[in-house]
Amino acid sequence: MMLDPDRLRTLTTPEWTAQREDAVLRRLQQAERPRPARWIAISVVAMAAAALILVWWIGGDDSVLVPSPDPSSDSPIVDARPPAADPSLLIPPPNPAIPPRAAPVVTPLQFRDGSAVIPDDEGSDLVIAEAGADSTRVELRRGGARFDVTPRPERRFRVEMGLVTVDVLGTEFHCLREDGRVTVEVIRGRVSVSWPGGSTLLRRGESGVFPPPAAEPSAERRSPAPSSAARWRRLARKGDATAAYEALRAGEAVANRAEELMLAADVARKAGHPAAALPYLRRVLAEHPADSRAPLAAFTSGRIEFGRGRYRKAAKHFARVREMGETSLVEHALAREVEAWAAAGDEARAQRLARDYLSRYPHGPRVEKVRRVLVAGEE
Amino acid sequence: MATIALRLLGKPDDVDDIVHDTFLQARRSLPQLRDPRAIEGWLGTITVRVTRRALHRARFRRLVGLGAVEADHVPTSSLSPDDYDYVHGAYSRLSTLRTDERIAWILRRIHGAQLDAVAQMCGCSLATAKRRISAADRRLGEVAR
Repeated sequence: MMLDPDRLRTLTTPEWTAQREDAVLRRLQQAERPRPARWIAISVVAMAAAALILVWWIGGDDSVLVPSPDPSSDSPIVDARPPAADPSLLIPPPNPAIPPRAAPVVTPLQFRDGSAVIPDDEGSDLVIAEAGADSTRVELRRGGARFDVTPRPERRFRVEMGLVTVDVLGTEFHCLREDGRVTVEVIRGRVSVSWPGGSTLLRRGESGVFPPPAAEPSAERRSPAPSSAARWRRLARKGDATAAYEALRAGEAVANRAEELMLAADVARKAGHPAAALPYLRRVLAEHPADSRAPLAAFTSGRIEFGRGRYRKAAKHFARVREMGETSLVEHALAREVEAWAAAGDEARAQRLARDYLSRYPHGPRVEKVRRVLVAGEE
Repeated sequence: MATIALRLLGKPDDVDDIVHDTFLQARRSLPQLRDPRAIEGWLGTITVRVTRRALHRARFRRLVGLGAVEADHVPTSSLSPDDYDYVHGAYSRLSTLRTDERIAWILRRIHGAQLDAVAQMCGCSLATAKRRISAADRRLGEVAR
């Protein structure tokens, strides 16, 4: 292969944008030292791993090695299960006379936004089913993995494990698929876990096994639905939003569950019909207001209305996100509300909210945009 | 800075981090800058130093088997598939060079820097810079100049 410096010069000219510049400047304002936490974390993990190996090697108490999440503790799971540790370290082999084998090489999946998925071991089977700008889906087919997801409200991150799905807004958690059940442990942030017939919210330090025994679908409940009714869902899962949307338009039913309604809304948006997503989102808000997806439904409604030029409606949706309680969407919703009121011509309200945003999130990712609204209003 | 970092690395993943770290180091070392007119070369030198560390880290991670792979379907750049393959292939060859030779060669041949600028950015003498570029030329063999 000939190396052509001229061609390489052309192909390695970066697209340096104002957005990237802003991001670097923001990080510079926030950090005095270049990512010190990473080295501290690596040192802590290395020491924890070394300690685990030592304890196992000298035949210590097995219970030390099995993680026992304690919701009242700040970081029990991190301590008990280092991210890249071999699960064989957590569950010692039955014969202590057998020397420990070397930890197998596990390659993490690294996303460009900084999110990472680290399989537990070589036996874990992970598939990236979708990795788009507004949606990422990872299928955990076997074994376990730790997920460290960078918050990006405009993007949905979902982990699918058979009947159980985990929706993430930006957090760190561990999933293990074993014997038809899924164990989810939240290390940081919170996740929404859903299964046929139910859903729940897990917070930092909490864990659970899903589907819960009482909620497992009975034989009758598991009887297949009419094939046509599930077709749009299958198409949506495959990523064929256009075909799924056509199936919906043909009259296929959407179950009155928050998960299903959100999926239908996604199908409509991805198929290029954002307005058609609104009725589904409205149903989530009206009929499942306590569901963990409700804030996302309100936020998405706001984005769609903003895109349609209905700024007042958009602002009200963003306001509703804030009313629903403290979630990772609140900061973004407040910033978007500022933009929406400014676009609607209500400068006074936009400025009041802009000041509120700047006082609450002086280093937030939307500071520059909000500040521009404030300056424009003062001029 | 971003251009130098991208050309030395061959992929965009860590470019923003390197620009960030370069600015941090530059801010700390600013009192050492005696001639403000030399700021461009001075920043280039820091960029090369930071990128060299990143290359060493990446090599170490590969050696211990911790090298991350791109997830399927995650776009790695805005290049066409042909261009991406070409860049990937070219940098695979460049990765066979010693890091110092690779850096000097890229700065001279791809970035188009003058020899004295290459020496300054690499933190070595002019003679050493020439020797590294020649060594890389020899190793790469049939490189089109």
